[in-house]
Amino acid sequence: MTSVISIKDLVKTFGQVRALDFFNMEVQQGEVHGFLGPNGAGKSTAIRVLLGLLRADSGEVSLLGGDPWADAVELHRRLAYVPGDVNLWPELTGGEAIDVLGRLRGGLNEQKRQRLIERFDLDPTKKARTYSKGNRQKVAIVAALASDVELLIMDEPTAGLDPLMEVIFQEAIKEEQNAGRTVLLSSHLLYQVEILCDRVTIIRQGKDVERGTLDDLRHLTRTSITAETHQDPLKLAELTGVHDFTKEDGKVHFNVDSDKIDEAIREISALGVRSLVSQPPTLEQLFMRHYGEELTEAERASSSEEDAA
Amino acid sequence: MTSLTGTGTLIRFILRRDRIRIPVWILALLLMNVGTAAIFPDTYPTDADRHARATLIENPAMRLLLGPVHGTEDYTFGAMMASEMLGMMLVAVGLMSIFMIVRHTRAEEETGRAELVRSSVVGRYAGIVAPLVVVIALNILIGLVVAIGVDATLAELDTAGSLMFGAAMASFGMFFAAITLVSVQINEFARAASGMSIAVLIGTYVIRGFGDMLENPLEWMPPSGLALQSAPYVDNNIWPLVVLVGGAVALMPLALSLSDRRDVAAGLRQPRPGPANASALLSRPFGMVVRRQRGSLMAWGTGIILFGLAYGSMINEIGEQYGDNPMVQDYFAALGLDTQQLTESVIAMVVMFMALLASLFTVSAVTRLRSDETSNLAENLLATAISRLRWAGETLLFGLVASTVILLLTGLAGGVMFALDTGNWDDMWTFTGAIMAYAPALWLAAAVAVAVFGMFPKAMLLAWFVPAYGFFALMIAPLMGLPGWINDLSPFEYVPRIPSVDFEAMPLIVMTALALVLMIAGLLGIRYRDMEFV
Repeated sequence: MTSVISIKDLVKTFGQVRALDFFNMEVQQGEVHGFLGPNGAGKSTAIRVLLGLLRADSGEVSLLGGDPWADAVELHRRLAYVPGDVNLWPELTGGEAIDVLGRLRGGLNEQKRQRLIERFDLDPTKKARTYSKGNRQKVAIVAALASDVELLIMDEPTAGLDPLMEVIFQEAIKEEQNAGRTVLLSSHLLYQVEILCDRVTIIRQGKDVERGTLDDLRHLTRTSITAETHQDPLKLAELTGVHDFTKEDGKVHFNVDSDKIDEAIREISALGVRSLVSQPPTLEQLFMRHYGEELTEAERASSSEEDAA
Repeated sequence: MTSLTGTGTLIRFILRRDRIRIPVWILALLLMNVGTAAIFPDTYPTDADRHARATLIENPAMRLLLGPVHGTEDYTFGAMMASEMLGMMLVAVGLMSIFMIVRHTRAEEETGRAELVRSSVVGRYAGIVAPLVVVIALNILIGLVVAIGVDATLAELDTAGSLMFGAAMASFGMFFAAITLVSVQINEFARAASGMSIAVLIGTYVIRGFGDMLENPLEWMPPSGLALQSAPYVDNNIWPLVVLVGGAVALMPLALSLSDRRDVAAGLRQPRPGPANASALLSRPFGMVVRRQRGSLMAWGTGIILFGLAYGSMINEIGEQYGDNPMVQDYFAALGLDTQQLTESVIAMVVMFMALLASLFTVSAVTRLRSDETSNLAENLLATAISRLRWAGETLLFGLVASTVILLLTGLAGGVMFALDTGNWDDMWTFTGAIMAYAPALWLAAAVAVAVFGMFPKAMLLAWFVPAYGFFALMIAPLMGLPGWINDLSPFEYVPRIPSVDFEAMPLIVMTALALVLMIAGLLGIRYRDMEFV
């Protein structure tokens, strides 16, 4: 597999602020890559470096085999970009804006444009001035999807869309993936990344804190187990890797480190299982482990019990 | 009447929101009138001076721009106010009423704030009546303040005339408050609503202008024709103003009943759908620039060309009437003009003023780069296969070409009027050539703007250096008797003042070369700096 985006030790500072701090990311050809992080983590900065709109201070950045700063124009023919906050030329209609963006990228698939406008239920004859945020977003999405390109870079593309449109967006992205196109999708909508993405990079304060497939990342987290047993389950609390143990109405609930799950299940079955519910970690939990720190610190300050793990 | 519940509260709310804006309008209109009245005695000390002024103003082009000239047989200071000031003041109060009404009605609905207000204990008409009451009161106040102000400033003005002058302004302002109240019912967007009202204002003003120019009944074209025919100080005709106020009062129930036929935030007129596909023009960045700036190009171009027409027709007379006025001679000398060849010097001065106006357009065309950058519009383009060089370069090119064309058309327009006046067609080329000598100065203005954008984008205000300093050097420095080196900082100072003095190519070549260097520096700067998006 060839690498479409490869970022190594990228540093970008704005005055005193270090927006990207030795940031790394690899996107393989044909994958939908999730790019997760809270606001201000550096997602948009990284994307703008990839687009050659910002210049890297140091580090190596390769996009479609070229240098995004030096070869910007040539590379931009092969990609389409949906900004996070879409601002359109107020005096143009939505349809005109789609054509302008497509043509300047170097080509638009007319049939696909038509199909997408219908699917996203967009009125292309309205002036952009009159569009809501969601409609502006649709214009940029349609223009990107209808462009004849290899790579789609999308910065929180569904922020203004309603849930129905989001489903349509997800279908459209799946189709792009089946057609062999590569997608970089930045988001803080975790469920969306779970549905769409093959692999993710999580960025926090300008650093890539996690990289890999969703399965890889799940290994770093805990599975949540609720069980009812014939015998007294209290000794489960003594196992290594078991956290947040509680007992209520004869049921026990705990979280177990994913690499200790085997031992925990053996212990439970030895106690005689009456009922057992096991839930895989959601990306939400995964995410909270990285971004929950501020919360935890705030809690510490208000002297609640802290989690040693 | 529950439909008016809350009107008082809304009025207080409007006054609170506009506690700066309202005094600024009052003060600005007062100062413009008082300031003009105050300089009359020094500018026209004798009867002969006033008579000369009347002869100068009494021509078709000036009647088109300013309105009928009253009292030419005895052109008193009052007649000057009525003939030279009132037209401009009507436009000013008209625009004020339009902006104020739109701001407190349609703009509120467009942003959704009106919905919030309407959901509280507020009557159906309160949101219309409150701004109307405020704007009517503001117009009456301005009429009074201006009347008292000019009357106190200049003893020669009689009080009845001053009150009539103020009343003409106030009734015209009220009329446009009512017109705008109707147009905000029709249009869904604030821009379209103020556009419609301004179109009515300009359209009727121009029709009235042709009536005055040709001296036919169209000179009564309401509303500006009516207001100007009140002829304050000269005839003190009250009844055209009564008709105006009557018209305003008649429009108000219309606005209220139209508001009943629409939903909050909707307009009576559905916005017209535009093309679903982009034309071939829009496939290139240059086409985008043309499409997006053509409105501003037309507006600036028409305005400057109209000035050219008016001044072109007056050149001869200005030269003849003011030739021996020592103040004028000093001014010409300070600008480096030949005081012996008056007509030529007047041409040189007039074209310099036109070129300065054109340079404002030049810079505004180029500074769009920065506003497009900070509003993220440029991000859309730069993420496509358009290089920064092409984006900035084609915008710059538009600024250069468009302002050169404006200069040329202004030169031809003014030249034709001048030639018609003198009967010699060579004069057309003299005038056109004189203004075209300023083309390199405009290019330099564009170059400074693009250089600031490329290298010091945070200091974008500096982009306005050439026009701003040019106005200072042309209009203010000579009158203040400031030392010559102050003027030497303005590129406009180096343009040969043909036909008053001989043509010299060297300064123009140097200016063009400097412009090229700055453009290259600016474009390179854009290439190597970060884009600043939000």
